[in-house]
Amino acid sequence: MLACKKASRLICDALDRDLTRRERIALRFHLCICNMCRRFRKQARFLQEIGVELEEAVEKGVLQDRLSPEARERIKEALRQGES
Amino acid sequence: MAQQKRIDTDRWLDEHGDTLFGYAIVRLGDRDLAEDIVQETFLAALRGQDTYLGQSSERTWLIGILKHKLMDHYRKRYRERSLTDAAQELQDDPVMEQMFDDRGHWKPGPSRWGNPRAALHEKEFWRVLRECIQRLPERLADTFRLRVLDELSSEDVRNIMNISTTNLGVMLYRARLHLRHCLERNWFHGPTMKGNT
Repeated sequence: MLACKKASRLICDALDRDLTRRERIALRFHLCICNMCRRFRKQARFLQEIGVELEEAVEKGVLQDRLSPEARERIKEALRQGES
Repeated sequence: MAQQKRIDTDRWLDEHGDTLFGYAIVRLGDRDLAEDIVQETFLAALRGQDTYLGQSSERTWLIGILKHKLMDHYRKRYRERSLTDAAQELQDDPVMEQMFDDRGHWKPGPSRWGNPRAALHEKEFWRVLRECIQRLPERLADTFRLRVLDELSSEDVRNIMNISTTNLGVMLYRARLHLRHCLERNWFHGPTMKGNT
């Protein structure tokens, strides 16, 4: 019988590799009877998805990170030097 | 004599500077470092402008160069093989210790998050997420970034970070547990609930 700690580890591992048959069965059994771990799995999967969506958020400018005016000027100058 | 088309580099900065910077800072967590890499990217693009044949948008091309620079950065940072013992790290992790009791049960365990995807529409949520990633111990943050943000294969992450399969497994496990905890406390179930700043 898996304890939640071990189950949580398998839930995470499953995001990066194929579980062995034994691991899959043990985890499935545990999840049948443990709603905490079912909840954890939902949240771990969510974390995986939003990692990818953070990419898009960055590209769309949602985070509004901006170069400071000083950095912008400094880089512009470096490029002007680079061109000459 | 070949006529070289002068690139308006000021325009490059105006059009793409912030996007490249945003991309870099999510991965590096450090403004100065991100600025340096953005500068290196533009310089490399300037030197390699002949390789840009318009096969993709200018921005896609620049982001491609930026990604290379980021990978170089990570490889250099993790060139020295880490000698830490993954199992020991797990045991020594104070955050982990609080999460499970002696019998391996959750203590107290994840709270309900309701409909978490609704959070994706809120600008503030992305800041909190970015902040939570930044708060991870650096190696854990980088592992998470490479595997989840950049979607590199486990093998590629292992190669770049110079770690074993066991190490990677432990690090991603810890990163996810820490992150989940951070997001719960700071967004889904914490004092700083969305809307109350």
